[in-house]
Amino acid sequence: MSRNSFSSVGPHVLEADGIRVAFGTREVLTGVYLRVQTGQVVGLLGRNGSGKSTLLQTVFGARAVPDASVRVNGRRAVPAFQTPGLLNYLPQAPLLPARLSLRQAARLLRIDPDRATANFPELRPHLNQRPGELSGGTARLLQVLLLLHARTAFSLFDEPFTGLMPVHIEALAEEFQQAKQRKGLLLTDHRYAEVLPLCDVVYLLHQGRLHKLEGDVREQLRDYGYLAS
Amino acid sequence: MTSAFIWLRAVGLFYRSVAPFTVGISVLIVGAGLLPALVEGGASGSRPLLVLVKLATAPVVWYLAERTRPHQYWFYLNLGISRRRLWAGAAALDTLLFVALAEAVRVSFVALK
Repeated sequence: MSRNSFSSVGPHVLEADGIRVAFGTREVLTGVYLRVQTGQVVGLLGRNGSGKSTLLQTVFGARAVPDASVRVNGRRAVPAFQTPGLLNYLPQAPLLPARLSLRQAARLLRIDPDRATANFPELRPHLNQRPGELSGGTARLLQVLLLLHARTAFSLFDEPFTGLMPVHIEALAEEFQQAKQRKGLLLTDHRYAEVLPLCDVVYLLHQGRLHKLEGDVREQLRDYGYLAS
Repeated sequence: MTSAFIWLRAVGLFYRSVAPFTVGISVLIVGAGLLPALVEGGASGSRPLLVLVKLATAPVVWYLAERTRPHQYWFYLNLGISRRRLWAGAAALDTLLFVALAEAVRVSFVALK
């Protein structure tokens, strides 16, 4: 796919299926079908160890899975991270190199850090610092903002709200709503109270299978044992 | 920034993170392999062997990097650079620096002799 494939305005559809992952004899992912499109925030929920991170990493292309099929607008994109402008991924672990300031890292990632922090002016002075010089929450928020404002068609976030204070969670949720107008967003986070109102589509990963939840999502989450009854 | 520039910048950045291991091994090989050969006057033609020994230590460096910084790859993957391309660049850079170090030691030894 060409570099400009995803720079044009227009809906894109990211699909993944055929993903089967086992750790030893334990099958973590089986029979997964996932779909994200431009204009959507898609939430991925599941119990600890259910394979949420594994699924995101497989879609991103960091984890080689033999039969995995990741497609964009029906065209195969494996490994997806090698298709310029297609998607980015925020892992649970710190993303940015310790040796670079956030501004330097943003430059390499081709992101305008000032635009990314337009709604968070208090963060601007931190852009010249290295990640290790910031509090965990501030570093996390800046990393989420940078990837959210990257010119990619999709962004995948693994626990973007971890360590963030409530006022920043609310502001970040607003950023997600704005960002989805130009890209598709897939996120997983245990802060379901904040995640559910954000999401246009909710998936639950349960016993290796991905269930698309429709109707009363909270009730279904209780039925699957993800929420207490 | 072009993709080539980003790749070069990424390789340089990545190399700095593994340099403590690779430079240490380079110094060890030069000290234990090249210097005794120079003293004994049998260093001519030893360069290919030294480079081979250096390349043979690559799995050790890879293992140490995986153990100490397993999450460092995410940034590079977000740049579109696979682990293989990253390591290929770092190995090429490391071999060049090793050859330069060996030559510097050889030239210095001859000059001081």
